[in-house]
Amino acid sequence: MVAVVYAFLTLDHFIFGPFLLSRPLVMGSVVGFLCGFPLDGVVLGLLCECVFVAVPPAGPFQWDMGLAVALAGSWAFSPLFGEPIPRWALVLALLISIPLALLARRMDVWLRRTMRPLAQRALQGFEHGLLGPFRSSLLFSAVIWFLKSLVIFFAAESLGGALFRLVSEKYGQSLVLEGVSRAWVGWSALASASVLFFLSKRFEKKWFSRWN
Amino acid sequence: MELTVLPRRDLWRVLGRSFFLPALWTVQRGQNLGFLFSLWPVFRRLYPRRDDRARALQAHAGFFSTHPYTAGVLLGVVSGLEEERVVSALHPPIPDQTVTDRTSMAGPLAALGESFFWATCLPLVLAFCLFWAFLLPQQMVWVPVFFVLVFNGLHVGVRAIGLGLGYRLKLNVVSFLTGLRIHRGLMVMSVVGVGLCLLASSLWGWFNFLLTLVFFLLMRWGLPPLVLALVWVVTYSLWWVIL
Repeated sequence: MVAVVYAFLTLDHFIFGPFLLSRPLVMGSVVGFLCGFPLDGVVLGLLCECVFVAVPPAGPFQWDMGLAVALAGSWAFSPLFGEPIPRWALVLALLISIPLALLARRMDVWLRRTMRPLAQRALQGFEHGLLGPFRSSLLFSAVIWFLKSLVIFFAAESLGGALFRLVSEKYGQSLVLEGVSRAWVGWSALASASVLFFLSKRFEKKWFSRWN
Repeated sequence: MELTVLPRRDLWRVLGRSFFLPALWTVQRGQNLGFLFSLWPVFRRLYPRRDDRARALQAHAGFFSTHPYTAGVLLGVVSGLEEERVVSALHPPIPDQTVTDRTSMAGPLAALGESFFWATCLPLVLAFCLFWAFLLPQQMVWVPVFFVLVFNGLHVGVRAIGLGLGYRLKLNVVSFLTGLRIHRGLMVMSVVGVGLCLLASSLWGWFNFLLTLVFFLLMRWGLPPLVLALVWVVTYSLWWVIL
């Protein structure tokens, strides 16, 4: 279910929009809602959204932060942990999912190159004054992007999920992970500071221009 | 009275189709297919004969790339210029000048969109979200709804208004946008965002506020937020274990 929703929401980035539906805040909340932990989902999404605020939501070569959050949510929001979710599970899930999401970007780049014939076909249609080839290419590319997102999600979920389960079963009761849970107290400060830092760049430019 | 050929509903169609701008993006031609698709209702109305339409579309088939949210202005300008050309009986169309105008405006509009939406509106809306989340933690589930509605309301509004302005003012839209002094507005929005962030962090106590300032200074010092998060988790958990 999470995979289908993720694949559907990523179409916002590739085909229609962008309405920021594939951003971490929305993705985290949706995954949290689906898994039965809506508040934790919003916290996870909000934290990632703030930390990655510098990554623009549109653009062909952006890495998919939504994938990282969806994967992290699908691992951490497990009924096995019970309520409340241990905070180390969220941190661990994010630590595993972010490199996987960065790797998945290569697949996006490859697929964009591979889909060039579709674009060529649509262009030829326009050059003959026809809209039909564009419509069919658009539909086909939407299906391909949807399937790509599904495949990527399942592959990353299995790979990272195995690692997540391994670590959580082996070290779940350890003191270090308890410490990681305690470190979660800084999430709100980290989120605020990230947005603050991003916004403060504008003043920096203004001050520098005055000094120069 | 200015003679027009395009009914208003065609412009609404252009607006609706402009959401497909990122579709079938390629390195060679950028968003050109989405751009042509968006303008299809205009071309169909202005050039009922397929040959004329094909010629006009071919002229616009070159590389095109701009910010998706400010593309409405360009779509409006091109619609207006194409209509003007047809109405002033310069038919068959010679759209080279329109293409040049379009290309020269795409870059500055992209920069404007980056600065307005990504660098200011998005963090400002996030600052509001943080404020809400810290003020009413039990109502936090509505934060993503607020985020999506406010940001998208803003971007769809800018698209629609930009399309209308571009269509009415055509190339004069540049001087109109310059006269708006948008950078001043952006500065005010940034100040509001900074204030909201500081206020939000203070809502969870002085420790949280101090920690925000420390994190901010460390980011200014050069640590990226993700690295800082890692450093914080490692340091805090080790400190806790040792204690």
